[in-house]
Amino acid sequence: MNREQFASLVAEQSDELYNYACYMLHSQEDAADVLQDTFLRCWQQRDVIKPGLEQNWMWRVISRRCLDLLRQRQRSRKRFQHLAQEQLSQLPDTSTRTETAFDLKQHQQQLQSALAILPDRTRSIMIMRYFQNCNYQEIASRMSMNTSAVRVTVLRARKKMHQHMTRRLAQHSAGHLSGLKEVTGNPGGTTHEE
Amino acid sequence: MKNSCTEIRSSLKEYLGNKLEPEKQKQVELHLNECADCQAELEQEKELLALFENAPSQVCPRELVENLKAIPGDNSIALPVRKVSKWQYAGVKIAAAVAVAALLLIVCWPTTPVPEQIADRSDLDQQQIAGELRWSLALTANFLLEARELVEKNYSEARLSEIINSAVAKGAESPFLNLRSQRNGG
Repeated sequence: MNREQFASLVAEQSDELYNYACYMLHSQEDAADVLQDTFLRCWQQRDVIKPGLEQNWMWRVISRRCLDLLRQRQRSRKRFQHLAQEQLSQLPDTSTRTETAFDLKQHQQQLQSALAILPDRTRSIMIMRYFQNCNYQEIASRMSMNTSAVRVTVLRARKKMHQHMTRRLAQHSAGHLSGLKEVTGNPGGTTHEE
Repeated sequence: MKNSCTEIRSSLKEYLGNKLEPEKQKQVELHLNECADCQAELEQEKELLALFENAPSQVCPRELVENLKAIPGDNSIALPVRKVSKWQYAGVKIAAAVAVAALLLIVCWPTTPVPEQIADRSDLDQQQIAGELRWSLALTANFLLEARELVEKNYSEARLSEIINSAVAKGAESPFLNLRSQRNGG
């Protein structure tokens, strides 16, 4: 790999890798560190990496680095989950979408809260599957797993995330309804019966 | 049917993206028309896809991209120092400590007896050796007595003298000389 090839690899992969690291680590600073570490290792080991497999190698390294970092944080897992929302709200909007910042933040928080209930490896798999649109074989290769294990993990995670979103929606509706009751001053909530 | 459902459910994302082969696409569609559970899974898949599609992707800052591109030319960049928790390798440390302790225990285990034990063992050995010696001496004495009786029974005095004289003549220092002198003296 020469310098030009390395530069093109950076141009192609940096956004996807950075996005993955951000959603895995919930921190832009950590994501930038991990990304720099990954590309630096890639350049240092350019003679070892088989030509054509650079992307796969980088995904393996960055996923492992993220999981290592998360394992270090695992002792304070509850605190981390609690902080996830706050940290995400600090992330600046770097996308070029047309929705309002409020909507984007809402969507981001929904996704983050749904991902936060998953174990780290499962979260990594789901991000690769749904953000990077990887197939099962690609994920298995990146995560050093069996393809069928990845398939089962995705199915279970989908169910789990759906349950979480349903529960969250129910809580949100209940909160909204109780707020409405307080405003109308009708504890029975039967405003139209009279 | 169960396997078929699992297979269908795992390819719902590709089905919704119309990325399956036409035949497979048709197969999934037919199955979904028949299977209510898989239909429910399809709704979950749609929900999940919407969740990811609506969430904004984080774009790598341009400054960082330029820094990354400059890595080959910049020899001053060092690998980021990883903050290692003091408990990260606690398991390894404990295992190493246990291994060292076990090794010390094996090496320093008192396999060599203390002096009192040596003395005890020595006494025992001495008693045993003395007993064996007494037994051997008794056997030898008994054998000699039997031999003497046998000689006296089968050999005459003249014959014995003849044997002894021939041995002396040969110059052999025979133990029988003492025997002869004793016999002569007795």
